[in-house]
Amino acid sequence: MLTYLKKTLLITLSFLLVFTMLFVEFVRVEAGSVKVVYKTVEGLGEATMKSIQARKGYQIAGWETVGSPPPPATPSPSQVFTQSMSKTMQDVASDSFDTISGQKFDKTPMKGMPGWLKVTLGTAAFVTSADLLFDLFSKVEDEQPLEYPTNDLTGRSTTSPVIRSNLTSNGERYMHYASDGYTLMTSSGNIVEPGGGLVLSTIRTGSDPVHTWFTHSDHSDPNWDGRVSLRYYSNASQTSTSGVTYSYRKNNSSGSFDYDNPTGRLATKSVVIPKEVITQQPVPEVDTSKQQQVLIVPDPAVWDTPEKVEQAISQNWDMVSNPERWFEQNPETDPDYEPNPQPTPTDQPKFVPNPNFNPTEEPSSENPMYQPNPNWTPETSMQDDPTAPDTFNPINGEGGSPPRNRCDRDEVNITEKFPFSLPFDLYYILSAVYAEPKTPVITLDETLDNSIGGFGIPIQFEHDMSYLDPYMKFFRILIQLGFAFFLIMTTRKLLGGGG
Amino acid sequence: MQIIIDEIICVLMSIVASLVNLLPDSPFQLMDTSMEDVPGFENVMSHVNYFVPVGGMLSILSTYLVSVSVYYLVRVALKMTQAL
Repeated sequence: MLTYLKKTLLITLSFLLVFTMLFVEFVRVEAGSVKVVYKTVEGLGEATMKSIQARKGYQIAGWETVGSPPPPATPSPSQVFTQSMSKTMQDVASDSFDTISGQKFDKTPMKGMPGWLKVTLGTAAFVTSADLLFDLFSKVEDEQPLEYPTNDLTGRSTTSPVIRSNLTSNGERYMHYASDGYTLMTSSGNIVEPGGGLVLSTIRTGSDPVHTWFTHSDHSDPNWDGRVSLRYYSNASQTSTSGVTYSYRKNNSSGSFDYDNPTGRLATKSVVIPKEVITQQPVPEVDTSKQQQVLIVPDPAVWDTPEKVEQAISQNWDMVSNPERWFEQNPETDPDYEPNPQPTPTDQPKFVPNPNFNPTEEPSSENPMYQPNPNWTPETSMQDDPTAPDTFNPINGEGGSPPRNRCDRDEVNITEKFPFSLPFDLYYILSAVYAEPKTPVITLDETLDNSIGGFGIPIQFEHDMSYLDPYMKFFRILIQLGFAFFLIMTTRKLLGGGG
Repeated sequence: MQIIIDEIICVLMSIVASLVNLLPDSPFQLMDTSMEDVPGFENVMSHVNYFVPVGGMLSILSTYLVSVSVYYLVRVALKMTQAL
């Protein structure tokens, strides 16, 4: 018997050796392929972007404190790279245009120069890369209050102090105070929103933006018409005529802000504003004589620090969010929201014993043993209700289905008692071991943590062994045949056949 | 009358059940539960079976053992008839 066992094992091992060599060769070729390199680079980029997002921390600190919409879903690495690249290129183009057009001189003492001279000098600066000096100058002047002429887009010619937002974005936005309100300006002096006083921010989650406005209005002012218009801009170069106008008004009875949609029709749904946000506290550093004063909440994708978010919140800005997305993500705040009804209990019999039944008297229609259950409905009906059949007589309690036999409780599962359990145990073992052969796919998705840098190096590897499928069936059959052969030859020894 | 018969059957069943309860629990139940505790045990076995058909071999082996035991039973029975 041992001889045959050895021979069978030898044959099996030979096959295993051949197929292992085959497998190793495939792994070696694929491991060095471009695919692995690409995956590693992709994972590295993803980790870098995540670390940047985590450092900014805008999502966590901002939304958890306000109780606002949850942070947007993290885009895929390829999306992040594409978006960041296009954003960078747009910024570069915008910056170059500002230089060539001479708008960068507006930040310097040379701002009073004639336009043609600014353009000439700006172009020269662009060609010679001297525009880097402008950026340096901006850095130096960053902490200083600036003054801008506002005679470009709107025809107004007032020169007034510009209140810089304490929340900056890339390219920086400024709050500009004019005679009729506050305007939003870019760092190069472009007025994004003339007048009205508004702020908006856009959280870009793919193609589905969430609009969040932090505004500050003196709601106690009797002259306030209770309405604030908001204009939505997708980029800083848009003018007063582009973009979509939204407006909201305060509902004094509910304390919420009702929306007008872009077509002017009052939206049916309103957003509940956190009570602590609705206050009449004046805003520091902003002219409190104005009815509607606004600070800018820039795109959170470029939001600098969570402290800035907390600062805006602590100063009690009104917070308004895109209602559609808000209700989608916070259905419990929807006025039309109906929570799921409690599941109905299903333990009610159709008839219950009559508490006034007199056992000394014969059951009759005046003295019934059972009475209808007021809580019984087809939905609340219990299973195996003995009083449910139509033949049940509530007067004498007869005719119903027999109550469950108490012997049912003494049931013994004979399949769990030795030795009757042996066939079932064998079945369980075989069913566990006899699993359908499945092609292995080796997947490696680990991140090597780097405690110094704060972000890890992801290692992603995937190897599908389905290329072995056509051979493995043949291989398995051979092994089974060998095993059967071994058993047959063993039987001869075991049973003492063949004389 | 029906209730009395029901009760008699019930008592008889209780006696049988308590007798069966005297038997020890299957020792293989422990192994059965430990298999459930291992997540993806079947998954692992699927991959093992991909290379070496352990399940198929065990099935053949168990069938083979049953056949051998039947053979021995028949042989014992035949010997008994011979002895008679």
